[in-house]
Amino acid sequence: MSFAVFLGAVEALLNPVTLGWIFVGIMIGIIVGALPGLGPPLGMAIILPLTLPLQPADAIILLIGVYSGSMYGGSIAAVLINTPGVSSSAATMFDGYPMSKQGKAAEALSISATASAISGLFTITALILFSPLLITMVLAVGTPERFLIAVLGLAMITVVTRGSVAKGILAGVTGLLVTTVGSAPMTLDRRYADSLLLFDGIDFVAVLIGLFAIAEMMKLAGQEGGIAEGDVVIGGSVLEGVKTTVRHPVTIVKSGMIGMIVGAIPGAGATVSNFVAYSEAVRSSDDPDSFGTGNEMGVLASEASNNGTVAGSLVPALSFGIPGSSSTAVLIGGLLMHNLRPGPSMFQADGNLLLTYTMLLALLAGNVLILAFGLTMVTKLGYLTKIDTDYIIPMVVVLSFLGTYALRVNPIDIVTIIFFGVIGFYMVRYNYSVIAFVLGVVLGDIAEDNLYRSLQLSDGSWMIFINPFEYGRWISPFIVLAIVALLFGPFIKRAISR
Amino acid sequence: MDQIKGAAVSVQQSVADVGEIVLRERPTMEHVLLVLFLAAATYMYLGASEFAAAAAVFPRVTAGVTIVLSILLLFRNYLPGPIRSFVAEPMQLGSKEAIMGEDEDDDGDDEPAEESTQQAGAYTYDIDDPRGPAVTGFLCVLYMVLTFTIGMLYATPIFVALYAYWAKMEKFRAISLTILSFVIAYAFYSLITSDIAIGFYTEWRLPVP
Repeated sequence: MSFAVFLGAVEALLNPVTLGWIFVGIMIGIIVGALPGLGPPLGMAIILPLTLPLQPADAIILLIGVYSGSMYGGSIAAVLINTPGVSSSAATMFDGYPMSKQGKAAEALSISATASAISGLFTITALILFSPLLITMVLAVGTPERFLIAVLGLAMITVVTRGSVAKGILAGVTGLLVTTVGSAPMTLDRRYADSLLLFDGIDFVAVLIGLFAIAEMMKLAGQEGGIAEGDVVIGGSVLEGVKTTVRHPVTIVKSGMIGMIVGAIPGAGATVSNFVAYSEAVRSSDDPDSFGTGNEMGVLASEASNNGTVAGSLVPALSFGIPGSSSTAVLIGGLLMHNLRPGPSMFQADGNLLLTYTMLLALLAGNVLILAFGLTMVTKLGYLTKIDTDYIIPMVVVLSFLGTYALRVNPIDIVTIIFFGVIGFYMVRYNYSVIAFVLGVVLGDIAEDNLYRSLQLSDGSWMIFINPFEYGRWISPFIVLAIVALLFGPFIKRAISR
Repeated sequence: MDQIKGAAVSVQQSVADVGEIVLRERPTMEHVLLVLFLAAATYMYLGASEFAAAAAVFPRVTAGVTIVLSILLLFRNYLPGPIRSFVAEPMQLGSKEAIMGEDEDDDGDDEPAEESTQQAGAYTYDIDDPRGPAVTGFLCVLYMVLTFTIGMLYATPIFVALYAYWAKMEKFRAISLTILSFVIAYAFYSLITSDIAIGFYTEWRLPVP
């Protein structure tokens, strides 16, 4: 049954329109990734409202193309001007920029393109092969567990991302609180909606755009530099970069797997996997001292890992609606906007399995495009680093306003993007996890829905989550234990050691 | 003007002094953020009593947790050791130092992210010019007000022109960018929704080009 759906997905992928959206998404992603200060979540957030007229599959493919393309695009600025276009390319700078200064920018960029593409192909293929097991696992999880997994995701994000645990939880719970405005998901009671403008609640797309676009533009407006000064010279051999990459399959596979595993941890994302893969490359090298001075393996490991993260982050996102990163949070927003609810239906043959497979295959095709674009356009990429942020900021704000307003034509959405833009700006400034907040906003309705159903199953008793003897839910107590251990374990351990 | 400015600074100083006594630290925008969370959560917690029992559970739980954590964070300097550690000290599994094998700075400092790029999950830009975010925020608010009054179609080029003026953009480029923004807005108007030409409060409508 699943294989028949898979063949259907292959057929859907070969549709010229679908291929066109993959191409558009990858191109937008590369540009957005290459422009310092932008990045995948911002690019995807701006594109999100514009996908409304599209078919759900095309919309999701476009978004995922932006996500994948920007992972590669981020390396362009990292290599050429020592400023990562996206945070997931931060480790690429360590060796990419020294290579560029040694006249080997083309080599570094072709290593980046080849490693990104091969790693992406490898990890997405692994995910497709792994999907039957994933499908079985997701379908075996019931409503109470689904609610607890949402809480677990929130707990993991608060621990993995920066700031204190209390700040992380506060950010996540406040995000959940935002979703309680408007109609209750199950009972349809109107909550906090004294004004008709709030009747449909606070639009999560507006919140995402505020947090990612407006807050980022405010931050960018306070930043000097970030663009190339003078002409960017792209020297070196493209072919040499390709040869270097294919000569190191173990490093690519290892870094890709690191990216995939770290990507599957909610909140960790490509920024962390980037550093983990880089440090692993340093550790396993015969010449660790050469890292930081232009070692090709540094670029290779870093870039292979961040594209591997894309596949990994899709696992919790599609299975339970828990984003592995800010970008997947926006992707989930896209799914919800097109009435596709992450969870079991994404893996059911009579549900949206066709879309899931089409999306994964589109990612495969996207990686081939990244390779083709990266290798053929490598000498032209310097132009992207010369675009002044003064031009970017007003255009991003304009697209954010127009896109958000066009979605519902509700003036409250304009207030929302500004309000959450300012909130997001200060949350980042004071180490409150924006990703936890976004997770709360994206997850709110799903979490409340599952909580409501769970409490219905137990006649209102919260013991359903911790008492397996009465309710027969044996996984739930373990998830509760994991949540408690994650949140309080380090503090208890520290208190005991004192 | 100077008198007004002086009075504002004086009031701000007095509020900060009182805040410092209450909070045992100089108030920052973080405290404003926390007070905002606290006020919103309190309103929502109390408001939840008006809903049916099933619809009230989730808002009450989330608002309750928000209230407790906001209070803990606001008054973290009053907390005893272990609780303060939970509330104020960073605890990352994925810190850059842990990954790169460097020493972890565990002093629980709570400095703004711009001053600290110590964590892997925290690639952040420095704020070189604080006027930049303030002016961008102000212009966004102005854009919103103009949207409500004359409609977004016409508010858009005005916003871009004002931003270009603030950024001291070269005249030709500023004009080009302004025209481009109007073209984008017009594309939205003609392809997606004509409502962007309407001012919300006045329903006054400029002649559409």
